[in-house]
Amino acid sequence: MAVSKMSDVVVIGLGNPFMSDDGVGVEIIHRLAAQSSRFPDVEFLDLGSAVHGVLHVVSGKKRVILIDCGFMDAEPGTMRRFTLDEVITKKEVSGLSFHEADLFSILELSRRLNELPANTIIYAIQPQSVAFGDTMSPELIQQLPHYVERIMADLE
Amino acid sequence: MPSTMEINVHHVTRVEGHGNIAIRATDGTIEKVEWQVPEAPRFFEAMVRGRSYEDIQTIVSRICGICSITHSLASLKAVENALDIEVSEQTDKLRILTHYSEQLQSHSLHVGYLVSPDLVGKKSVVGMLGEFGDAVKTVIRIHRVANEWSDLLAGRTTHPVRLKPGGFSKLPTEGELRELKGMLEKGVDDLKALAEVVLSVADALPDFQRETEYIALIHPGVYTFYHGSIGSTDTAELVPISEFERVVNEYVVPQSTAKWTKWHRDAYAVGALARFNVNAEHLLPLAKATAAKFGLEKGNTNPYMNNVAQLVECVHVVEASLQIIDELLTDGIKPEVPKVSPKAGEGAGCVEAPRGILFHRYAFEKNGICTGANISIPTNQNHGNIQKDFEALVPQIMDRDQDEIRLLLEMLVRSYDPCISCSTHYLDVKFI
Repeated sequence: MAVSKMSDVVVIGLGNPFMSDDGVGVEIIHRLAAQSSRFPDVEFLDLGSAVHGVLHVVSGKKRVILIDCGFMDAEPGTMRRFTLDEVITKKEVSGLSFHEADLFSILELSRRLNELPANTIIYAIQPQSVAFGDTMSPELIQQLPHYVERIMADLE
Repeated sequence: MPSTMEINVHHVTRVEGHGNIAIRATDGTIEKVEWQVPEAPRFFEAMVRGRSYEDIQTIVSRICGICSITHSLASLKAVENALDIEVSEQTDKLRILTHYSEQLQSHSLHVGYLVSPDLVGKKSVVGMLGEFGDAVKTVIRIHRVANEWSDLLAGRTTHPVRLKPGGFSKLPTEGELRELKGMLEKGVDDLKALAEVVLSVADALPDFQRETEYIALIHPGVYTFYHGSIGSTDTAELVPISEFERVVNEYVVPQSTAKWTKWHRDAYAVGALARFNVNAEHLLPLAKATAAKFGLEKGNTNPYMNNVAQLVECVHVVEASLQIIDELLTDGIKPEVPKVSPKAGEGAGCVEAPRGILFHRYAFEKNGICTGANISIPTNQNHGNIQKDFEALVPQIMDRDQDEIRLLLEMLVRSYDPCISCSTHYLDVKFI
């Protein structure tokens, strides 16, 4: 899943597979990448916890799909699809370290630079638990095939 | 009525792991000065137990989304030390080249995104876009080059996949190295431009000095990030990596769940300024000239100047990389297959992370399964020093406006480029 500069569509998984449900975006992107032969014009990227990297990989694309764990006051395991303009971020960052960046601040920067494609969609999955551990909650694990199917349907 | 001054920088988040600033004074008498670090313990040491030596670098690369190459390299050196694995000179050079990409990624982000807004009186990099739009775009171009550089060598922009015990799973071609060389040569102009912009606002960096012990890797004749022994500005002694525990001397304090460290004094500092203070004479010419522009000289004890040292290092790693690429192209890239067989053993590894010296230690049983790990990260090594800086700085600035005191303390913490709360980046949203 190296950076390719050819495709118009990029699907990005974010999160940490060693922080339990935070890793759901990365798990989904690997499952999608395993089906990449069905989507020859789509790039699938595991950016892990490197949120700042989003700025670069969306530049020049026509369509972006981001997949991440997200607190949304929903039942654990719920996946929602939304655009940037449908939500406001509640994430508090202390500003003491750039390691704690909020994805929305990066997307806002990208938008202000006129680099963010208008067709940018976020899929977020409500976690049961975000804590150290390499296993996701059953509520999320059992729905992984459903998450993948739904995003693939979006790509077809 | 007593006059009370209270500063609390404390954020409630979904996952514990922020640093807090807590200051209280009444009628000019300081009652509390604390750098509190309720960092969630890092369970990665437990996570690698029971795993194969082949998987360690992949797991620890997820400790941090910024210094994933650094953690991978420290773990690989420890694994190779434990299992007596020799690596070729070509692997050595390619690893250093990969490591330099991360130094540029991290430093350019830190100086460009987090420190620059302080210097120009803006709240964030987005707020800089109008008046300082060209400077922001320069930073983004530099970071983009660094990302493509990592991707080319490590197989990903972060969380590398090609770094393996004994070598690389895939080598770059000579054509790719030539392409990288072209990218870096073009990047030099952007780095010069960024240095000029930072220099034009460098007066905003506070003038605060405190005698400090600085610790960094030392290797003969090199401004090193990868090879060497542990050195300090307080001693001529060079400590082998295998004995790193007697340098870090980890201990626990009530105000922090992160372990703190000390060696010859009650605290020490690591990072770009520490490396500069230990190794400045080995900087390459353009990096040396950049330091001179800022008046940065060996022996500087102003922690805010760590950010200038980071800028100097951005220049150095690009210069050094151009040299390495030339050497690799002259020798030609030779196909190599890492030869590794597991055995029982224990070993330590060390590299300089962008934010300071990093130590990993692992033990393995005869089938190569990990039985124990110890990781000492640079941010934890700086916590005690931030506290000592606070204790020295607060009395000097007590007469200032409360917002200014708060900003100066926040800037101080930022200057250390701490890695806090970086393991996870969940979203937290409300639908409108």
